[in-house]
Amino acid sequence: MEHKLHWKGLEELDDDPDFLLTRDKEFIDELPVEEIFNSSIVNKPASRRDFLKMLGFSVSAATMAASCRIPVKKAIPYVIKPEEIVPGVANYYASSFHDGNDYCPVLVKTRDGRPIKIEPLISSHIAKDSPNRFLFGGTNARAQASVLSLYDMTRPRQPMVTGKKAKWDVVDAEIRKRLLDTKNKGGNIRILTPTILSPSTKQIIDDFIVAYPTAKHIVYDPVSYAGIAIANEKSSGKRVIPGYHFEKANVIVSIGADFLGTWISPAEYARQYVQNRKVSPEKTTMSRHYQIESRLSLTGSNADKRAVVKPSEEAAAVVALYNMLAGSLGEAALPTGKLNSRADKLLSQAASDLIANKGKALVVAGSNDANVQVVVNAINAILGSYGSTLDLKAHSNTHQSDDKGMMQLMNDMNAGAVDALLIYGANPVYDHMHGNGFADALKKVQTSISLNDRADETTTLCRYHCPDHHYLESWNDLSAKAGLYTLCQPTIWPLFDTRQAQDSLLRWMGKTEDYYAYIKRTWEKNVFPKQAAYSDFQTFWDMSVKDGAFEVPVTESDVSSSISTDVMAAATAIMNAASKSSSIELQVYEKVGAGNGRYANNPWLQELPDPISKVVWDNYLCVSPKYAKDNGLKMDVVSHKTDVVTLTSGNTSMDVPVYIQPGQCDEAVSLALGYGRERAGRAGNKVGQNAFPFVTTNGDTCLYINPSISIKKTGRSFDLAMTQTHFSFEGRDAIRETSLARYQAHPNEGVEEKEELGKVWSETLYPEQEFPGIKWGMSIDLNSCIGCGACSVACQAENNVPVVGKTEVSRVHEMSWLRIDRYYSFPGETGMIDKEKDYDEIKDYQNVQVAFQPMLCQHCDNAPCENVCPVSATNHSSEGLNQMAYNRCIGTRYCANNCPYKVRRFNWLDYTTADVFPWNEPWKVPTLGVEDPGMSDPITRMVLNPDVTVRSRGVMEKCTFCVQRIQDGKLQAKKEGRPLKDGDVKSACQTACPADAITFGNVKDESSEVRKYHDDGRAYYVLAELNTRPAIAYMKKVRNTDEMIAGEKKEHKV
Amino acid sequence: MHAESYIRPPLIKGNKTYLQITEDIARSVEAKPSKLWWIATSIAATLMAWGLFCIGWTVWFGIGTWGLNRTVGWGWDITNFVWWIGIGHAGTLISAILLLFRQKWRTGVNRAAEAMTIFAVICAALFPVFHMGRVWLAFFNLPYPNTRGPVWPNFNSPLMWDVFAISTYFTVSLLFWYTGLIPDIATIRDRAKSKIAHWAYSVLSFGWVGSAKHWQRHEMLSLVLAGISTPLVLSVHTIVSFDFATSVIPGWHTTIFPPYFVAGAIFSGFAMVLTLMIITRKVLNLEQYITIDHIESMNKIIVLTGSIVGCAYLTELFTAWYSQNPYEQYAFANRALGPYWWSYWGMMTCNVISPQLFWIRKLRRSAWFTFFMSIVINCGMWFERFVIIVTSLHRDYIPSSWAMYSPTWVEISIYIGSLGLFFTAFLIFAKTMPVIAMAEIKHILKISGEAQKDAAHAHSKDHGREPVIIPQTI
Repeated sequence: MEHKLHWKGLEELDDDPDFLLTRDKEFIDELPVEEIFNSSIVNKPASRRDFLKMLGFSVSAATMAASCRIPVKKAIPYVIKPEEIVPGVANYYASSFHDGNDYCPVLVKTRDGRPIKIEPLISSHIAKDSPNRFLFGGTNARAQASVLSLYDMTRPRQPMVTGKKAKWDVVDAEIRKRLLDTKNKGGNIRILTPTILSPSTKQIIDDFIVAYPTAKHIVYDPVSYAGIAIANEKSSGKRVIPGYHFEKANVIVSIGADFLGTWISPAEYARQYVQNRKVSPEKTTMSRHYQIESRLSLTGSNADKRAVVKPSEEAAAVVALYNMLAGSLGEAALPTGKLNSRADKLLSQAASDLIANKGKALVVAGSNDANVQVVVNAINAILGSYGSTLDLKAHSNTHQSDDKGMMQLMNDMNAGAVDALLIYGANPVYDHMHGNGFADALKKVQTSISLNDRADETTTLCRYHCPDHHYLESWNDLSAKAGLYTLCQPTIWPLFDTRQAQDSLLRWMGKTEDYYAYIKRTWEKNVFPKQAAYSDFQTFWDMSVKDGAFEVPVTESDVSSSISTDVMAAATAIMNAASKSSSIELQVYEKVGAGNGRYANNPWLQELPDPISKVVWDNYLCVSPKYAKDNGLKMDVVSHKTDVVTLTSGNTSMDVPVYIQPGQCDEAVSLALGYGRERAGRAGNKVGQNAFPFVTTNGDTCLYINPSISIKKTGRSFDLAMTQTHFSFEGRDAIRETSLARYQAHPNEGVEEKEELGKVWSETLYPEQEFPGIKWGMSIDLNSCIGCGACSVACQAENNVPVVGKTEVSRVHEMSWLRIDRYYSFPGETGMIDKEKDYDEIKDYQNVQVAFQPMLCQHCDNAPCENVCPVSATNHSSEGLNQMAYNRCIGTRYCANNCPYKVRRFNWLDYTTADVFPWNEPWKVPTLGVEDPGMSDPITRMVLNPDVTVRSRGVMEKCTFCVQRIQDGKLQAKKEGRPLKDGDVKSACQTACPADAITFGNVKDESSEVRKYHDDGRAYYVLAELNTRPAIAYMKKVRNTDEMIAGEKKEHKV
Repeated sequence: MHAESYIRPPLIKGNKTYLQITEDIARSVEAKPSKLWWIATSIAATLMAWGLFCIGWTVWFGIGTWGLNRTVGWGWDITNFVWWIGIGHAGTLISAILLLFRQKWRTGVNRAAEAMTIFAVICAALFPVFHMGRVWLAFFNLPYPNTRGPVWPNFNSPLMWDVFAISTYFTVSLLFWYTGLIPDIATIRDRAKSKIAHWAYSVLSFGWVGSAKHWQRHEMLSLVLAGISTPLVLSVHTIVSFDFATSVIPGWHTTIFPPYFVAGAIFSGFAMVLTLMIITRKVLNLEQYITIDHIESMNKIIVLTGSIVGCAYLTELFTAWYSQNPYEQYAFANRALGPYWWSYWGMMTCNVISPQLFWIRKLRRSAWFTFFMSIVINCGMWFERFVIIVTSLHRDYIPSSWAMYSPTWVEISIYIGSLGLFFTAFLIFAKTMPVIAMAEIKHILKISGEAQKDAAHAHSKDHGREPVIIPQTI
């Protein structure tokens, strides 16, 4: 290319010397620097005006520089962005939650690569009429809270050998050598696990046993249901827990089974149960639920009719029911003990109802005594429940505990006959009735290996600790029911140097295959051939992972169709056992939140109020009011002080606080399991007392009844933190109930009232608010709500609601946006006793009616909180939301005072550690004694929802109707270029609810579901007479009973 | 018919001359502070410092250091606020309303009462400011132009009205008080012996020389301020009562609150004036200026306002019963019989029953008894505010949320600290400013009777001066 010469002017072309001199200078003339510095301008002293100018400039410059808050951004951008991750957009992955006890298929919400929320899974692979469909679409509190355990700071960071940090390859080599040595010398190897639902894991254990032929697998659950399995083995030849179908039952009789709270698969059963509890003008029938129990369980509090017996009499009640039913068929009666007259009367009513509803009835019992369950099976056989409400074909795979095998293992260990013990997911030192015995026996095992996910009571006594992943970091497959397969997939790279237990087992067998490949191989071999929808395995696998679940028809035919049992032998055994009963008996039970103690270090569950007692962060001995009075025990709900008693059984003795519980049997006390952990973690250690040592056994199975106890008052008192201290609803209109008969006669009686209400609501001083587009509303069906609290935990997870700890709860500082109010009323001589001042008239505190009411911000259209805020921090949106501008709030608390529903929550202290300095965190306040619930460290804070502001100290907060979800739904519709449709936006409480009690949507949309509820005859608004115009309609509770109903006299009242 | 007006007893006892009045009143300012003053001031200042520390504690750690909770969002904080505001009513009432009613005896007590008002309002203002969760953003309450929209405060909120009502009241009261002080400060200035005092009082007296023009302007300004303050006396506590009356909480939501609160405020304000004046007259030897007749007059007002308050309590009970509103009925039953019964009966005893003893002349003319009663009434009025605030809130509509409240040491300390602040300020005032309005009280000196003339002559001869007669302007 030709090089062209460009010149600026003739001077350059001519190389003019003058030009050359100046060419390289920026300024042609010399800068007058000298001149300026010598001039009078510089040397002259600043004039007053100059000074003021300078002052003005520098002050304003300094102000501007100082006042601009420049956010420090520490985010590091992706070098190579993963295809599916868009910052700020959530990804959802199908997975399954199983911890050995609870099972729930879930959808995991992840944001920027971290799981932050658990949603129920709705799978397209599950048929509409599938027997398993009720496992889908609802969650329980523990599944909701499980995401927090992922970020638990107490999870181990690496493998440990005798308490010292180690490397995986070193540990692997050592363990493999020890296992091979044990095998070579013919020593016994034992694998101890809780129920394993995973077919692949079972296969690995089988492979392991092949590799180490002296190995044996023992299944041990802390809370056992072996009695049911054994009874079914006797009756039908198969050691399984049947599939229960509460939705098909018109009459349900439960004798001591808390099937809505904790029994076997509560979220599934709750979902089934409410199917036939929901009423509408089109369907005015509902099931009738009888409950006979010794403590007030969540299930009992939902029953239409309830009676109280001693725990040891539950068996007698089962036999009595059998006798009544058998009597009607002309069969011989079984020998049995006598029951109290109320229970007897209730049972005979139940019996006639059951007979009238043959084939649509279900009887369940909570006892873990196989003999009792044999009689229950016989009852269900008489009622024709098999094939209808009971399914042995699509049976449950959960709870396969072998109580006898566990005892045998302990004996073997004590005898020195176990050389190597692998523990995966079990913690018997804490949760076995002979926990200390197990600890001693463990010392005699040469090679003890724990694969638990944390250094718990058992693990710390083991030689090796090879920590497992959290389930959200793991691959797994689960088969909770025959024919149902769900997958578990990792949603985050492992946080710590942990390894999935199955991978560890594979390593120790000398295999290099990883567990993911193993699962795929198992599925290809076992599941893929059972289906016809997909012809190519990879497509099948991809669809299953995406969908999370796969169902295959159950082809097993090894279940005998006839139920044959020796009821006489069972009844005789029951009679013999019952002779051990005493005047005061102990029942140990699981709480809805804490369960068997596995989640003791989960602050969300610890702070979830017990649905009945509303106590947090503790267990306590429930005693009846009569027992308390007779024994001089006191509980002052006002000061939260309660008496402490010493509970003794044999060699076990511990001091526990009492809780005076209406509905509790006068001759029985109950104590929750799952507390008193020693090595759960920062939040869970030393919370309450461990009740497992009180578990008894009949030789075959564990029993959760202890008849030989003594209770002694200590004279000391204890602080119990509870979120509700008033029992009665004072006859007020907030809770409305009716009987089924009345509802059937007047299904629309609430409609007139609403018209009347319209007149009250049209009166206001303020200009009417316009809602030009959407108007959000909610409905809560009190008939469906079982009070379990799953919504409460879901709300806490979704909305970054802080955990405050026990001391702060006892100072009435809890932060929950959604609480469930629980009220008692008692049948009196002239009507229901529902005012505290009439409590003296109560003859029998055992006979109680319970009502639950989820209470959250009502998003009033004429909100009392809004007009009192001096700075308009709380105001109304054009879509009917009562919204909080957190950064405008100055914290006068006037809004909270003026809220008639008392749903506003104030950040009393720096609970979220959102303040810029750490020196004023609540647990650093001298004199307050607030404990650190362990939610403030950077790892735990990864669970926070980035779409929701973390509120700082001094700010008011409350339910937002999940405004972030509303925005997300609107945005989604906008992106798809369509109007928002019903069901696009679901609140966190709504999706979590296993009972579908909560509906959310646009009340202006005539076809929306929420609108239908608002227009329903049962709908009412709480405190509507105050002209608050709430956006939440409550559906009146309907009780299927002919007895008196609390609150019924208040019908037709505006 | 022939009717003769009775001879009014003189309002200043002891046949004083103008000079004597000046001497008597200025003595406490000019003399060295007594040991007693030092002790009292140091105790008060210590309490104030402790209160300030506890305010710092609150701001540092949060309102969670108080005993307030989910259900009871206001406790001692707003109780103390309303109590102090109530106390702050007497000064302006005495200065403005009694001025309009031509109650000349007020000149004996108005200065101290006005000072008390200022200090009480300062104490009162502490509470709504520091009860905020984020006090550093308190300026959000003010309607200042801003670039956020602009965002204005919520003019529907009674708390917003409070901001205006109290700041207006404080400003007007301060101006009124200071306007009255100017001629007296000038007197002190003229008599000052030390240079520093002379300079300080010169600055404070704004160059007052007592010219006719000065007097004319002074009187005019006083009159205008009296006119402005008169409605304020009624409006401030009316607006404070709106904090409660406009809410929906049973026990708060009542239309009787404005008159009931104003009467209560005057009741408590007079009680506090009596507490202070009885001590002051004794300590500063001003018994001839603040006479037993003053005390009696004020006790009469106490009987009147106490009875109004009692009447309001009974009306509330009647309304609750008559309304047949279950929430209202429960709220009042709970006040009287619930867990906070002691505060209700404390209020009833102190505010309704005990002031009735003032029907007895002997008791209402007894300084000691009046002092005791003034304390009782102050306690009673504190109970009243506690009853209204806490017992209404702790059990309102939804029984599941019912809860109890008790203060922590921080709240109690802040209250004690506010008393410390009040007394510190009052003691410093009593030492540096004339506690009785010298210029004003001279208006009511009886000078025309023969007895007075004789006495004045005798007195002036002692000092070798002729008495000067200042014309009365009002």
